Amino acid sequence: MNLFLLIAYYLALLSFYLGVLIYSLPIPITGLKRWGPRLLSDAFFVATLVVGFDLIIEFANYLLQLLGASWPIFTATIAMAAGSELFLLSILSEISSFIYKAMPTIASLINILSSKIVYSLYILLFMYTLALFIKYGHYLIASLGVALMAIPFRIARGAGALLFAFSLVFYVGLPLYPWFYSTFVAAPLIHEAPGAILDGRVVNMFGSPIMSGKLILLESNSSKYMVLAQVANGKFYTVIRNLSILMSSRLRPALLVNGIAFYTNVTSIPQACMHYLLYPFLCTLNLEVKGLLLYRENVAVFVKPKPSLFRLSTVNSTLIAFNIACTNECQLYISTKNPTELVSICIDNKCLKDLNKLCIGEWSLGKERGYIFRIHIHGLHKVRIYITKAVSFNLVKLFISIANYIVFTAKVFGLTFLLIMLMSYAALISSIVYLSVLITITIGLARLLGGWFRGRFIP
Amino acid sequence: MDILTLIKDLIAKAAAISWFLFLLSWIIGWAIKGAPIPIGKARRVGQGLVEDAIWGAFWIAVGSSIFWLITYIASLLSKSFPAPPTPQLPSS
Repeated sequence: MNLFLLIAYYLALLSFYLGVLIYSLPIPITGLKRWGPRLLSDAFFVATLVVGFDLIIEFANYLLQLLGASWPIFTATIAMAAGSELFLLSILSEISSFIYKAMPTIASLINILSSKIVYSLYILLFMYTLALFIKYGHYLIASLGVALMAIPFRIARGAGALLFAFSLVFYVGLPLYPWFYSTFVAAPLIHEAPGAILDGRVVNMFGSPIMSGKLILLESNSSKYMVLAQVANGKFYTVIRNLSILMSSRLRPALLVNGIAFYTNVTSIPQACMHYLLYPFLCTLNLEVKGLLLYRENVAVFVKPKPSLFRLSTVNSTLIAFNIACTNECQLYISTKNPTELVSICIDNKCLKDLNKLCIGEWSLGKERGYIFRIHIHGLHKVRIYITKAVSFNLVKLFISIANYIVFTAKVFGLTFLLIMLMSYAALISSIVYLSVLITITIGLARLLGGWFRGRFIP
Repeated sequence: MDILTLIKDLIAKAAAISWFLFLLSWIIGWAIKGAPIPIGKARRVGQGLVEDAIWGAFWIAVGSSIFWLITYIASLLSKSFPAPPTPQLPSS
């Protein structure tokens, strides 16, 4: 019995006595006198609601347990649906970026599809927020609704009925969403949470995206590292099963490019994910990589210290051109990965063909190896780097990376679910359909509770 | 708790006023019924006042018992309500 219910009970008593008062008023105006029996019946109805309130909530809990629905399963289903949509988004953006040069119209169609998936994701997350709201506040909201209904003369009866119906319907309805999802989308229910979903963008110090690389977790004071995700098209996405790895503060995220790990502005993931406490399964990390300027066509350009200006003008398979300005002298490093090789470097139209003087060494990591070149930069210069044609079978690389994604998702989500997800429009709209079903039921129940009764029960 | 004491205060005042008003309108109703007014409709007003006053007195007297009845039925229902099944941990 919280404060609102007490207020509602006493308001019911008050409206009862007000009704009786109007009944015994010696003023023979019929319009006024009709309020007498109305107030009386309102008072009995609200008193029944107040006294039966705990009963109703207990019945709702009983119903939920009978149907086998519960909040953890709901959270797991939302996490799974959100994860699969994010995965779809990452695949589509990768395809779109590869196809863009050849077939721009299809690429824009794919982008439109991606935006629809993003809307669906928003609705899913809205549903999760609503679920948190209802899970912790349903008793309070429902009791506030009853208190509003109890105000004499039916002043706030409609609003109160709406609040009461809303909290009750969504309290019972939202945990039943996994059942709805599995019936109409035919996906298996997950009985354990799929861990955390980490996604985000990678940018350089000036805000331009860094297209690829490997996101790793570096252990401090050692050269051991763990690969988290592959950055594609400036974005990354990964599902992490073992949350304790993420939560360790000894590991910091870095970008591994051509054998060198670049630190980012995030020193510990738990701190960066703190404001996602409401969504413990979803964390967006937007990383700013320190030192690395760009990584395209297997060529990495990084600089120390931070230049005052960096603007990329051209990137294609033979040329990387950019403007760079340093107030004090800074070292510009260019690292290549085999089979890409440097042909020449031109600074302000003065080209250097003899690159042995600039080469400071070789790097190797596993099966990859390459060379590192260093240039001193002072002031504003236009740098042009000519490279030989690298791997020309981009299509093969695309297929391999898509195959990797598919295998990865099959391992995480199950193969049947993957197939259905890739072909299912119903999966995208199921959340908004379910929300609209619940809202319709709410409005119906609110009209039933808060409607003006035509019949007179009290003579 | 201020709002609760305010409401309780109002209830007490409303109850007292309705007892007094019931008496008043019963007297006025009979007075109109017995007055030498030749218009029939005016005399039926008196009849209506008397009737409503009696109903009012009835509801004042009976109201608290009805509220008690509602609470009693709810307490009976809550006792006989089956307890929800408690989830069992898997025993493997």
